[in-house]
Amino acid sequence: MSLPNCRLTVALGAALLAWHSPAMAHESDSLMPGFVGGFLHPLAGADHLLAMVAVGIWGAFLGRPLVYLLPTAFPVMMALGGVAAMAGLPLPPVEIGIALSVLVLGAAILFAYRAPVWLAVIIVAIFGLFHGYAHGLELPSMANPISFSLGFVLSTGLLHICGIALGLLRGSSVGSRLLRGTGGLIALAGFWFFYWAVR
Amino acid sequence: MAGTDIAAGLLLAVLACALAFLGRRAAFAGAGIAAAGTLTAALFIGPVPADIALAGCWISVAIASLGVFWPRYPQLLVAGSLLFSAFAGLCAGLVLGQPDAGSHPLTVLAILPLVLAPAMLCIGRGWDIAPRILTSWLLSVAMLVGAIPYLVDHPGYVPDHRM
Repeated sequence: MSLPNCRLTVALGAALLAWHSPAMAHESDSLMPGFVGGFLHPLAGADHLLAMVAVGIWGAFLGRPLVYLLPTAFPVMMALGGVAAMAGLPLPPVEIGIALSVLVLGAAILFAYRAPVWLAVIIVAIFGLFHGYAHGLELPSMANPISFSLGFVLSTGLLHICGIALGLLRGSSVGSRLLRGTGGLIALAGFWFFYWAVR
Repeated sequence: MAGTDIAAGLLLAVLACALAFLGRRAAFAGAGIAAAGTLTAALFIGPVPADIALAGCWISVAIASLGVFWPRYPQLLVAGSLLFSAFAGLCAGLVLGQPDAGSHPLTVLAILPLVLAPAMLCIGRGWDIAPRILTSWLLSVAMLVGAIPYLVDHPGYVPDHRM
């Protein structure tokens, strides 16, 4: 990445961090039941939102077959994570896993890391497990857990599609730089989440 | 749709996505066979234990999902897929034939053409990503819907994560 792009990334990252406060991630104790609650859940936390968009962007960056394998593996593993949470299975600190997902996926886009298919799928699958675990912890308390799960799976998928649509910019050199800059911003945000998760 | 109806609806949607990859003739044949199986099981076969019907549904969802991600459907598998369509249709019908089912089988069967037509259109235009991603969503929901009734211990009203 050239120096002006680096400066732009850092400046935009600083603006993003100044705008974002970590308390935005699910600050409310009262949970909207049903489909709407599930749909809004991934959108209500910047950590979920950035990770899912990053999955789509990275998939689009890597091309076929990962453009559909990554958004396919993520929700399936997310559902497994949700089931694990509901079953009470232990998982390493979820906050750190989610923060790492934002950091690693953002860095992968920033450095245009062309991971082998198996590695990219494993990375995304593990992170999907953490995000699903987080959803699953609060899913059973919903008035209608089935409609809640429908909501958050649909919302997650739409975020992946937004990421894929953004990833289509990679065709031009300017678009590619913009995407990598976006990856840098996501990685910065991930670093911020990670800091708050481990402090 | 009521709780058990969702299982049948999910199965028919995933089946439609899988059939769309078979080509026009085989897809229509498979959809017809599945619809016939659903109506036969729902209207003419007496209620079977709900657990068995639901297990058949979830197994069929898993198999149909695998079909979507098969790189290229060999022609030999088309015959197997048609047989599988009959099995999936029967499973969906058995679920819809449960006494507590809230929807008429014809209502749920509408999912087949509603998913099959756009999926075939997408595949025909080279956008096969769309039905594949849709299938992964449906599979995820199916896993959650299938697991939730068996998970008794609920963590309760605890926010999932907070910084």
